[in-house]
Amino acid sequence: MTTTIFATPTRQLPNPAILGRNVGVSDSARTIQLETYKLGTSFAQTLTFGEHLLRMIERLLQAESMYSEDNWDGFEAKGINIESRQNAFNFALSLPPQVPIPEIYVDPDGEVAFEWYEDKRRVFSISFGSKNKISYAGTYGFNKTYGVEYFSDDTPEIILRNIKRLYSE
Amino acid sequence: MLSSNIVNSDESLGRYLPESSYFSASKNSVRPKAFMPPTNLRLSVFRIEGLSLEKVWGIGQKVIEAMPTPKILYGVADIKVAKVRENELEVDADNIPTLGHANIIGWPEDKGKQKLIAQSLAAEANLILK
Repeated sequence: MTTTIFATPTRQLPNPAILGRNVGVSDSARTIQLETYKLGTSFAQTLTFGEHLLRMIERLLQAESMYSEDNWDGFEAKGINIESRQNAFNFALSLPPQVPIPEIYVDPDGEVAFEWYEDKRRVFSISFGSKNKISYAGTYGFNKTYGVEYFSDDTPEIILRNIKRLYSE
Repeated sequence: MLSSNIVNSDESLGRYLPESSYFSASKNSVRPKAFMPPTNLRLSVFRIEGLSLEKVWGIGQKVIEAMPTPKILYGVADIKVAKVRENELEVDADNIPTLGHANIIGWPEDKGKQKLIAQSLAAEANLILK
C-alpha cells in the first residue's frame, strides 16, 4: 500500500518576467525584485504558505489583466498603476499565510486594492498608493476605522489587527 | 421631477453595475467598489425615484451602450439621497449627458475616508439585479 504524504504541485507559477515588469527601476532594483520573487516561489513549491502566496499572485495577475487599460469601468477609471501593483506584490509576500486571501481589484484611480468582505457591514479594505502608502478603511457593524500606514518589509501591525478583527468579533 | 435641479432626500438614486465584481449575488449586497469615486470625485448616478424597473433598465442599457468597451448591465444599486447626505456628500443634478443624470459630489481627498464612505454607501444600498 502506498501512502501519499505530500501532494505534487500541478499548477504553473506565474512568469516572473511579468511580475518584474517595472518601468523606471534600476537593474539592481530589478535583480532584488526577481530574487524576492524567486524566494517567494521557492516557498510556493514546498510549503502550504506557498499555496497561499500563489493564489494571491494569481489574483493580482488577474486584476492586472482586467484593469490594465484606462477607462476599464466606462467612467474614465485609470488603468492599474505600476508602482501600486509592485507595492501590492511586496505586501502579498509579507502577508502571513493564516490571513484569508482577499479579493483583489483596482480602484478608479488605478491603485490596487485588497478587500476582505464578510458581508455588507463587515468589510476591511486597503489600497496601495505611491511611496509605500497604504490607505485603509474598515466597517465592523457600527464601528468604523480608516487611516494611512506606510509599508516597509513587514505587514503593518494595524493592518493585521483590522483583518483579525473582521473574523474574530 | 427629474428636470428640477433640487434633489429631495427621500429620492432614490441608481448606480448602474457594469461589472459582476460590483456586487455579491450570494450575499444580496452591493460591494463598496461600486461606490468608489473616480479621480474627478464626481460619482455618476441616475435619479430613478418613481420610475418603473423597465424604465430603469432602459436608461441603464443606454449608459452601458455608450461605454467605449463592451459591458453587461448586471443591475443597479439603489441608494436614497438621505444616505448620501448622511455621509456629508451632496448630489449635483446636472442632467448631462441625459435627463435624470446626477453626480455624487463633495468627496474628501483622503483615500481612506473615501473607502470608508464607499463601504457605508454600499451597506445602505439595495441591490436590484436585472
